[in-house]
Amino acid sequence: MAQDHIGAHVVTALAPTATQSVGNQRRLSLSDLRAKKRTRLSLDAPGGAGGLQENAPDLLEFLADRNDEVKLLQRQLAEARADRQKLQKDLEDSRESLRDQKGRASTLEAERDAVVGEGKRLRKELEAELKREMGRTSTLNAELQEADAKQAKSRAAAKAAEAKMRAMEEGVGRKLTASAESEMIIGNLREEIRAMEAEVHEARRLKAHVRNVDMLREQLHAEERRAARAESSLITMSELQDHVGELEGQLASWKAVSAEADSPQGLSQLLSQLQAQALALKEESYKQEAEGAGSKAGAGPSESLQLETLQSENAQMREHLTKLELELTEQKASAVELSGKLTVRAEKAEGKVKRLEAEADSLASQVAELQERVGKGEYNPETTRVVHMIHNPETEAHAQAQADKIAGLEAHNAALQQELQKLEEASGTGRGEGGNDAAVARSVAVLEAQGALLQLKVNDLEKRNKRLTEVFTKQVAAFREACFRLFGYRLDMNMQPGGHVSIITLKPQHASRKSEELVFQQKGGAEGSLELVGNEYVSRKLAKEAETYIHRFKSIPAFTANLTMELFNSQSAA
Amino acid sequence: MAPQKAQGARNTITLKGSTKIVSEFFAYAVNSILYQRGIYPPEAFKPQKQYGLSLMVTSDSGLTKYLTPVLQQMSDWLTAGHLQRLVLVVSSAATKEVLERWTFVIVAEAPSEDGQPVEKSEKEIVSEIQAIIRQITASVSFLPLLNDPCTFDLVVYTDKASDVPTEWEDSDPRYITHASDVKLRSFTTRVHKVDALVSYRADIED
Repeated sequence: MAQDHIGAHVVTALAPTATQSVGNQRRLSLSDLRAKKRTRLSLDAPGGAGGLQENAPDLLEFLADRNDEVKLLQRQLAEARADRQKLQKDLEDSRESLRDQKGRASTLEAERDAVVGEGKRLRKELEAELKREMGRTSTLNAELQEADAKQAKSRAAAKAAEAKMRAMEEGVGRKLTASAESEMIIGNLREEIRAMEAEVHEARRLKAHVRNVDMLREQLHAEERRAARAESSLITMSELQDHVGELEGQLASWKAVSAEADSPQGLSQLLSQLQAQALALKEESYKQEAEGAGSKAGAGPSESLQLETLQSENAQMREHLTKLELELTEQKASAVELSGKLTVRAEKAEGKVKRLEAEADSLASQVAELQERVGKGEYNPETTRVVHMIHNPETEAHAQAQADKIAGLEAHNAALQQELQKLEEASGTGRGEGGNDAAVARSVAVLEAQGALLQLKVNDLEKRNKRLTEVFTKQVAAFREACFRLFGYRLDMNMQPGGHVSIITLKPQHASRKSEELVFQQKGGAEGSLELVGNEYVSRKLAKEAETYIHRFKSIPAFTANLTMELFNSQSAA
Repeated sequence: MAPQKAQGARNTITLKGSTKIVSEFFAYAVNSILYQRGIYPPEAFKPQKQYGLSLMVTSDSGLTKYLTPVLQQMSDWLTAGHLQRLVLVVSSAATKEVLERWTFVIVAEAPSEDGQPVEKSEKEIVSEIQAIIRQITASVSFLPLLNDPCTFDLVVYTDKASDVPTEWEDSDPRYITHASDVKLRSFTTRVHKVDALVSYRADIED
């Protein structure tokens, strides 16, 4: 190798002065040339010892040869350079295509990221929805359990209440002893009823929840729709995957191309030849080649690595999607099952609510019954004492009545005793003038006693009569005032002395003079006929109206009403 | 009774204030019933302005002499928390048969959590009392007529443990057999709640 390098240096030193080399010698291989050189050098060595002049023509020839050789090499080098440039260009192209590929890979990655993001979002949504639904279901379950517990409790309470009621009813049968506890029990019962009502309320709330289950079912449908949408988006995702697959295929081919970039054009062989030549000629060019090759070799693996990661990610994504689909179907199934269960439980709860309501009603009616008993005034003698003033109006009234009775009896008794005494006297003295006296005295005594009693009654009646008169006077005045205001006539009614004739005087409200009044005469009590008594006012102003209304149509109300209207009109006109 | 104004805010009613309101109500209610049911003649009453109404209050000295100590005693029991019920029994003067029974049930209201009486304006209480008095007045329309002369007694339900003065004695509860009940309105001072009810002999009336 070191010898080659030296040779190369010689060539470069001579190259600027060298002329165009011979075309047909171009095909000579480097090894041939080297062999020739060596043989000539070996021939020169003995000649050198002989003399310089003798060797000069040989040397010139050798130089000419060398010159040719250099020219040839120069030409080959130029060609190699051109080839190298072409190769470099190819390399550039290949790099360009690699860059394109990278760009496509990045877009692919972006697409994949988008798809993954979509998948994640969908999954998150589904998970959240599921969680929400699960939460709702669990609260519903909890509530149902709570309700069950409460219902059981309330039923127990109702039973206890019933038992108490039964006991109480028996007690009431024994009346006095029963009333002992009733109040207390009623209090308890009321409390229980209140509790029951609260529970019924709770049960109603549950009912409302049951309605919520229906809402939940609707939501489930909505979710199923959403799932369908998700599925459709999954389909688009698979389409995208297909696209990704295509792109992958392209990428793979690109990879292949990049791996054996030179073979299709038969470049790799030439390149290796040229590389060997370049190595012999120029270290820098070799280095450049080596660098170019290195970069090519470096680019290939990194790209394939990227592709692998992309593929693996794609596979992961696909797994993800299948998982999501599975979860979705599971969720759907569980949701349907759950809603079915909930409906059944809701129906049960409704039945329980109805039963409890009926129980509450019956308890309420019992309470009402018991309350009636309390209304009577029953009480618990263990806690309550019933007292009153010893001297109260009732006892006084009773005492008074008793006293009156006794007074009456005493009077009667006295009278009888007197009578007896007198009878005894009469019988003792024999029949004579005394008999008359006794009879008189007896009757006087009886009359006195009766008089005392009657006096009491009279006092009472007078009091009552006075009260009645007062009331009547007030009522009559009120009645007359009402008539006056309603019908426009002040009415006075006077009895004619000694007779059945009443004089009724009507004074119009709108009368302008005092003398303007109507007088009617009623004969034969309240049902007797009424007649208009002619007076100066009637004959002067109302003769025609009286004729028309009273005599022809026999209607006093029409007459009085007409007069009222006339008077009203004349007054309001004036 | 000495006027016991509620301390502090006007709307806060103390036990003493409530006792005063309830006792006063009893006095007016009893007077109204006695007047409306004609147990005493109308001339034994004089009108008095109370609760925004014109109420009849007796001027009969005998009746006043009876009512004053009874109402005072009830007020004492109220303060002690021993009064459970006040019953006005209307009975026939001749036969002592109970014809009507006016019951006022007193329930002690539970105080609020901090033990302070709950606020309730006097105006509100007065309007509730007004409603009961009006109902008593209106009861004439549905209660059977009292044809015979009648008298009355006040029967009080107290706690077993309460002190009973010597002027008082145990009484029969004076039930009515075959009674009809009419529940009247209630009122509350937030210390005492008073439910009113009238029972009357229902089956025979002609």
